Amino acid sequence: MAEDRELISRVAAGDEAAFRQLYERYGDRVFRYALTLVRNLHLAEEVVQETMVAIWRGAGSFKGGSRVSTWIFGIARNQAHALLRREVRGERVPEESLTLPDPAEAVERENRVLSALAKLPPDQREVVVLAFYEGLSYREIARLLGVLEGTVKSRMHFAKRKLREALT
Amino acid sequence: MNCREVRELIPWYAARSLPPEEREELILHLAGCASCQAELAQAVRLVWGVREAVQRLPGVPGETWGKVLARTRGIPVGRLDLGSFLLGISVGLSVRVREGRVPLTGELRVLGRRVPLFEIGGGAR
Repeated sequence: MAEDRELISRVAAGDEAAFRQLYERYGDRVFRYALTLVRNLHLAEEVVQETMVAIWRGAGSFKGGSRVSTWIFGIARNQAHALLRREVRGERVPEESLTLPDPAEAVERENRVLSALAKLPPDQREVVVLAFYEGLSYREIARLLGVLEGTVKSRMHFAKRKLREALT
Repeated sequence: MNCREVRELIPWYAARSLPPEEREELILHLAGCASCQAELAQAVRLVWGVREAVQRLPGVPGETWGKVLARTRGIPVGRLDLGSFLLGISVGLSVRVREGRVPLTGELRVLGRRVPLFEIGGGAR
């Protein structure tokens, strides 16, 4: 299986197969990350589209100073915030809110975790998802969010406490 | 490291993203601290709980790739390939529709690997 960096350099050369591979590797992950930011399925899909278009156009500018995943999530984050800003300006209204999976079909604990995550402040939820789901280090998250490492650790500290309270 | 410093790093250790230098110090502390071991056990459960729960969120809709492709590579409307199957080499010309433009693209295929040669009329990528 090709490494992310190899895929990015092939995408920069216009390789559609590499672009497809990158999409298959990151599409769902970017979508779920976007969901935690925009809390709307349609907006999250837009974030994926915009992110992939930005990757296609900007793959040549990837300098390799970070992991490809950090670079991609950084793009997705910028796109999500741009979409949310458009919404705030009233240019569009979300058509539906993120709904959690049907409780009747879901494992109870997973639903409780999702509910607890949904109740976290957005900045804490984002850190938890990037750290626990994506496996990014606090340094990578600090770089991605443009905040101090201590801020990331602090957000994690408070998020963990709230999640623990909600889940016990 | 004292307990307070260790507990700040435990979520990152549980998520396997702690830098090696901090990981070694943390492990040394954990070896002799039962309360931090209990904290680690809780953090590991939390990491797995979040991972499994987020994994259950819906994935990207099936039609999204088509939309992405239409905006980047474009939708193919015509193609001509000349080459040798035996040698595994061919040259192709393709016409696509992309965001109101109709670029003509040329590419070389060597043993299944595509090498873009040119694109005319596609505007900025």
